[in-house]
Amino acid sequence: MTLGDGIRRNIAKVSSDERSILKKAFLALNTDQNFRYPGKRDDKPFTGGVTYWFKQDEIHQATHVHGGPAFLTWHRELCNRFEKLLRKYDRRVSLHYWDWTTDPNAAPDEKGNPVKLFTEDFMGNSDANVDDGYAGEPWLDANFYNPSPQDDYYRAVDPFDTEHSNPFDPPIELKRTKPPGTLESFARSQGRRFYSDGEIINSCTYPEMRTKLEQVHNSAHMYIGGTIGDPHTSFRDPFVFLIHSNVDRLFAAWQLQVGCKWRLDPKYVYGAEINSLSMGTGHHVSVGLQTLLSPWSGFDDPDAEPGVKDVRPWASPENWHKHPDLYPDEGSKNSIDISVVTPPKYDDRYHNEGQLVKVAVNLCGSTDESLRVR
Amino acid sequence: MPILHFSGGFSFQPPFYNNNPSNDTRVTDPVDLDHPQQDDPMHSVKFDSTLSQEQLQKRIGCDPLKYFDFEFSNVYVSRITYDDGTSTDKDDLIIGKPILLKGLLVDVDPHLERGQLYAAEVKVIDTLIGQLNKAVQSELHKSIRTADGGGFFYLSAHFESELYNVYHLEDPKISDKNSRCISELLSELAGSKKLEIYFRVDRYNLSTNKGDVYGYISPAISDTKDIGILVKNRHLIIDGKIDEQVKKDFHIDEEDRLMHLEASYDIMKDRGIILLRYLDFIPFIDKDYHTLSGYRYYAIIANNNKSNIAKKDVIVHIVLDSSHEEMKKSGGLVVIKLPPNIKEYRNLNLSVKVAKNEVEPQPFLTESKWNLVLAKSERPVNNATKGQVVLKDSQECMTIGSNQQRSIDVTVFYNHQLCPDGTEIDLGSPEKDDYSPIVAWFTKGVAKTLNGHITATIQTRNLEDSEDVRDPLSDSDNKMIRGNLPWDRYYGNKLSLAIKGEDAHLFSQHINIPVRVLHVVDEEKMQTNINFARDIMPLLSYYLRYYPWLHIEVQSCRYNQFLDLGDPGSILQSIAEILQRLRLDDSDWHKMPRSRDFPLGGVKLLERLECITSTDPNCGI
Repeated sequence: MTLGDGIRRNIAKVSSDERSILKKAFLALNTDQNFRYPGKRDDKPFTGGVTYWFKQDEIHQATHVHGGPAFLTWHRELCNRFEKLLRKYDRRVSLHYWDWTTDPNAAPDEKGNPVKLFTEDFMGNSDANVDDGYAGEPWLDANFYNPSPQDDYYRAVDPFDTEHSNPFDPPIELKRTKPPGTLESFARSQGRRFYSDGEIINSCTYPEMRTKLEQVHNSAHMYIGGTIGDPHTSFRDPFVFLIHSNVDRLFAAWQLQVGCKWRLDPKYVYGAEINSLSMGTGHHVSVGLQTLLSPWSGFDDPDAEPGVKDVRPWASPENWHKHPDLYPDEGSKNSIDISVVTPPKYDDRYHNEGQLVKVAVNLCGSTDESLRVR
Repeated sequence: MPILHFSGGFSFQPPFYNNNPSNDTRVTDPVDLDHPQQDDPMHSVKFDSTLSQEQLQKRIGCDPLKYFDFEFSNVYVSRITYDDGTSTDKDDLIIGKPILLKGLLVDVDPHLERGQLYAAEVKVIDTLIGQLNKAVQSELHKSIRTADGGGFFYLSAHFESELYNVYHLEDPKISDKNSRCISELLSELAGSKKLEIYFRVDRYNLSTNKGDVYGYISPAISDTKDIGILVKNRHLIIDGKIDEQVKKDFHIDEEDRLMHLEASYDIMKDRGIILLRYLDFIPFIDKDYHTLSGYRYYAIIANNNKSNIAKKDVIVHIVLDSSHEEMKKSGGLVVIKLPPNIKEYRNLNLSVKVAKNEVEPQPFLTESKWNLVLAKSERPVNNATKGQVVLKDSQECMTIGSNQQRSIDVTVFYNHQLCPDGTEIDLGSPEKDDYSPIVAWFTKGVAKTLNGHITATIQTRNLEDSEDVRDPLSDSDNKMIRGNLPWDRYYGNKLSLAIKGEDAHLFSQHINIPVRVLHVVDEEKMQTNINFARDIMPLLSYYLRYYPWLHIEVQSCRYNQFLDLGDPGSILQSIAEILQRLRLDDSDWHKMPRSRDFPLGGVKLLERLECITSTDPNCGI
């Protein structure tokens, strides 16, 4: 394998040096003063000066794209953008993934030897019985969280504590409660349905695939537990990107199955869900594929939720998304955009048959038929 | 600050099936309001995860994923009136900018039909963002006057609210250098002046849950200036000298409040302009936005408030454009510039005349002698971040706990000045309400003004230990209920204030105040063991009876009930989040819409339940 080849790999199977580079890139996004967005903490109406790292939580808090057709595409966009940020620190970095069929505390490396990801050299502590579950180093020193904030400046755990919600400030805690064993054993112990990678990527249609994939993803969050287990705070834990890189890998694997080139075509990949719009409101909104990807497309949308703060620089005063002439990499888009449909490069390939099923439309713009496990 | 005129559409998702308290969604209910079909399972509104979106819409008449959501759609800035009173429909970069507004429009009481817009935020793209104080819906008015039309589609109402947390929204390409609007806005915000929004909604279609909206955003105007001179919401009422043919043409029925014509205006003294809201006196005659043909409308301003106005007193005489195109551009607001020599507003008199087919203008609307103005109380937002924010609370409708008293304050104006002492105001309490026992009344029948004000006290019934009251669920007037009145219902009625001896039906001289009365949890319950069925379920029974689709989401392409208030397990599992949301301020979007009606003391009881179930030894159980 080659560092810098742009391929996202199983994090346990890359070299410890490469893991170290990835970790340093994460840390830099919160410590390098060049890696901040414009503005200052107390800017009104929207906070500025947020680090590239804290921006991820701000974005996730402002949007909550879960439980709908755009779950996968929105998180792909998030990961792609995050990887670009990491590469500002070191252009060789790729956003590697945690293969959730393995125990992250004993994930086999290239030679089959177990690798522990939750160490102070890489992802920090995951044991609820150690230091009360705090992640500790390497994150504590880099101010990824601060359990003893001064001047009352911190982000609270309670999502409704609006006094302590400024994305400029560090979270007051970063905890994990990972149990022994694998995700699969955890999910089954909780009575949650666990789909194998094969079951996910053998899905015939997008709705079927993304529904299964999101269910396992939900379990993965709960499995690591603590901060990452709460959808309101999950993006305060760097490990979340290793989970989501894996989610995107499985999405990509489904797209890249042999004989399924249509899954790379924006017109066909989403099947009956292609015309889906957002439904609902508040935290129970189901985001459709036609909906603009926000916050990167701004919140100038009638469906935007009151009280949700717009996210700079895709808001006043920068408005990057409105001025592609000034900011060529920006510009409004939805999940149909080819940059979203095209999967990033991963280190694996799956070879299964898949076929497009034409069916009638249901609530999500998809079908009962398409959701049936085959 | 320039005035931003706008128009467009809105959508609103109200549940209507609870407007009749007899409807109980725990059993199969008729919900097709026009065509009840008791035996038709398609009309059950019980939660059913197998329904499609279309089936659900048909059954309950709205999208429960957006219960009570009110939002603008396709609303744009259509005109800008600058500080000097000049205006443009095209020569400013802010013209055409979308205006987004979204909030929760929750009725004070389902059968009293008075909406309260909570937690709303308005955003004029690239221009400004702000939040609305609670806005209360006005009385309804019939805006489409056909011989046979009925229902919501033909009605209109308006909202007005001061904005808070107002900020300029910047854009790299729009600034005070190339937009006069932005230049004037920045001056206004730099001076910390306040803004307000006024909008009128009409043509609400029950099938689509959509309607039309017209309005404007302007600097805020306080009620009075210059030692008690009324300058805001001066009312125009039908002129007593109106011609019978005009009354007939406009379908005016002076005994029917819906069928009145009216207008109101504000004076912006510092700019020497008048803001006249005219949509309520230029009605449509059909669904195609036609107004009465042949009629012309004149706004006439005289510097004389006597009944006989000489020609020499007239300082402004303009013809109003009554076309729908102009309504869309103006947002229903005509801005009238006063002559620069007019500095005194005490004697200003505005009237509207009409002329049909080129005949001489004749009386139509005239100034109301009386104006009743409810005071706005102030309250800090009950959370720390917003601690700096003081919201204005309206008394236009009220929610009060059982067996409590609440005062209201009213300012009474006569000829736009504080009325003489001793003016009598009738305080009216109803004898009967078809949908609720009478639960609120004034403690006296008449109040007399002092320094232009009256204070009146409202007393509410003890819902937990009531005397005999008529059961509104019974067709019979003789069926009574007493004691602890059922918790799964709503209780409320209207109270009224009117100038004694005047035309009490005139809106400027008569105010209706819908009052909702809530159950109150007995403090003693906090000290004893909690029985789920006895103590907790009553708190939730109102929601179970009327709102089975309150807590749903779309998951895996199905409606999923993420919280079942009929299931103790579901409640206990979510109790932390239930409490988090119940504790939020009413102005917080994340508070569930109907949590604003939660029984008083209910939060404390749930906190105790949470404490007990967490096996906290300090709970004393």
